[in-house]
Amino acid sequence: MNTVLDYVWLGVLEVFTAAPVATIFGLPIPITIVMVLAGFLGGIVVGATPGLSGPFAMAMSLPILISVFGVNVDAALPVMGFLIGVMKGATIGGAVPAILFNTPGTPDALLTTFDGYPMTQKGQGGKALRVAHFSSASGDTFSDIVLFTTAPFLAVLVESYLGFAEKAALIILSLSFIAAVVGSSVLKGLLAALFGMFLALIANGEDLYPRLTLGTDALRQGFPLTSAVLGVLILGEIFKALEDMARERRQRDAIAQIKPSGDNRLHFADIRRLLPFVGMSSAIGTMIGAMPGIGSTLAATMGYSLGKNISKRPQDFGTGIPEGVAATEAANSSVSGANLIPVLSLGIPGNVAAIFLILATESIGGFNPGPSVFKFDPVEVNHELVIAFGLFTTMVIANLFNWTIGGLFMRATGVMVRIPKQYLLPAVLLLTLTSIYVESTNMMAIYIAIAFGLLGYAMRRLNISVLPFVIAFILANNLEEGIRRAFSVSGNDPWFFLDSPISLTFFAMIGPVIYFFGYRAQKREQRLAD
Amino acid sequence: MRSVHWNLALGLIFTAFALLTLLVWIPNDIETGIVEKVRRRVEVGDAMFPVVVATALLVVSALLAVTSAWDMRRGEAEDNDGRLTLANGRHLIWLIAVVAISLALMVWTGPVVVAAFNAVGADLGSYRELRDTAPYKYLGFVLGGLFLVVGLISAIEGRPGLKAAITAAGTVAALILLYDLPFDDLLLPPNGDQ
Repeated sequence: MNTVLDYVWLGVLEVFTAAPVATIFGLPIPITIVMVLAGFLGGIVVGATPGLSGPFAMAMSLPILISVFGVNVDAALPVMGFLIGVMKGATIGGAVPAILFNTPGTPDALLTTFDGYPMTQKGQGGKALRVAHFSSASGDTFSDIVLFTTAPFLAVLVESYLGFAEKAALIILSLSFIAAVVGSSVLKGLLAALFGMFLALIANGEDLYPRLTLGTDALRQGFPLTSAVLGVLILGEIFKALEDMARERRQRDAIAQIKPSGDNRLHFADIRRLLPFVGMSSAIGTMIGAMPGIGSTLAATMGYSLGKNISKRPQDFGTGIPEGVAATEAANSSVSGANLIPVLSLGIPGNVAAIFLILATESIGGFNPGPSVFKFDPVEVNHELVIAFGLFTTMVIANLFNWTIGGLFMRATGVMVRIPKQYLLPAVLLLTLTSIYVESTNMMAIYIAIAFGLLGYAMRRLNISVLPFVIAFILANNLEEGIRRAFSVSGNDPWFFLDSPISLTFFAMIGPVIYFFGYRAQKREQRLAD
Repeated sequence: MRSVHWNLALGLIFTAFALLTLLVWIPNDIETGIVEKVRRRVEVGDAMFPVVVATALLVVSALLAVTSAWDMRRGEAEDNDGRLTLANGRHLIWLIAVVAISLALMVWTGPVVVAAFNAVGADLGSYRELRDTAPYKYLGFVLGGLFLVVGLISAIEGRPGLKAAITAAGTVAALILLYDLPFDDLLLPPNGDQ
């Protein structure tokens, strides 16, 4: 008889009884924990390097991880543990260049510069980093706790009440939501999602003749998932960054380093003063993160604005106060854990890290993130559920690393900003192309990735968000399969979507979701910008 | 062209694409219909989902075209909604040229060098037989990789330089150390499909 607690315990054991890589004082050190640590430290370094981000590290490491660990179910936790480590490390690492050198690596880190860099200019850079680390680790931990308690509960609800038709309707609703909230225009978001979905359908039918291949051999296998996703997400970003750098080369200034002065430690009194800001921003970030597609930039913006509202000295925000750093960092860090709620409870990847978890599990097999994972089978052990709790355990371990050595390591990575971006990105391009090839051993995979990279470049230039495109590309075949099964289960009823009040409700929500979360929100943002 | 013109162009291009897909591509390139009968059972055909997606694409792109045209007419269009410029085109041309040349070097250097050695009397066999043998297996990757990294850095910096060459050599060496030396089952480009 397997209870919920048995499954949790089995998940913990799966991590701690993995093959040991070494022994310290007679204690075996399991590979999964080593991989979480390696990913976490690597993530901090990557996050602290301007021009790089977590997805770059994930793209580079995936083929190596799969080659090292193989494609069997035992590989799932070490590989996913590494990716989780990168995700968490890159989140805190991103604050380093923003605070010390006023060079935000990501849009959400821009808000960290508002108070972080003025603190550095006052000689308080060390303190700003400590505040950022404390707030970031707090937000991340809070977000993970919400994930652990919410995702299984939501998944059980989904599995209990939703059939094939309802799940298909839910995917359509989620995609509409993502397309509406991400980017500058609802219509462009929807266009990106539909185009991504259409490309994913090429050569993927059930008939012996592969559909929509234009009779060419090149399209007979369809577009490989890894090439398409890495092309749009990573190569597209590199192509754009290369152009931006070429344009800016005459405007580059030397980076000045400011010497610390005064007390740079973080005292208990500071923590007590910061807690309301950290708590509020963590709650906001977690709520935003739980919705698929909404990134950490909105969370950071809202955390900063609300922090200013509840502060007794709002006029000091932007002049270099710890409260500003805390409000931003807690908000953007609490997005990452909650971002995994949609992928684990609904099977819908809500952010780039979740996309890489799906890419990893697609290659490895044995674990398909989604509601079906959370089947608490009392008789026969559901191994996917054990892996899910193992995944949660790796997140707890990453948090422990974050609280213990994260701050120290983060403060040591300030040197990364000295690596010139113009040397780094061409190297990263070669690395990404090599990693795509190594995984598929086919030059066609590289050509397809470059074509998708050019598409990603054009989308970025035309202000079309790439996230709806990628998520729709990943979900297209699941959605089609759901519709086929729903049609079959309904006894070939063409109105199968309308027979269920739940799927009807989901469809009815699409219009209001697009209007309120997309159209009206964008109009409001435009008015604010004016 | 202003952002709104690009939005209009985008709407019109995708409207045309969706129409072509619905009227020409899908009917000619999918063998089953929207539904099909298999052993007296009606099932969803391969054409059903592409038709649904292309129809939705048609509606959304037509809406984008109409709203952009309406914004242009009222003269209220923002000009910060993205666009492609001639400068972007020039960037893409050199980018594609550098990438294409480096990939060509990657694919052809090894086979050409082996063929040249064979032509002057060496009995090396085909490149395919040597694709996992040093130094032949590195020839294409090293030359193509060096060209890619040096080419891109030089384009950004406006001139070729020693630092670019050192970075390129370091990157290529690091990738060989990372992917090739520790793993017997991993092949560097282009050796997997030779």
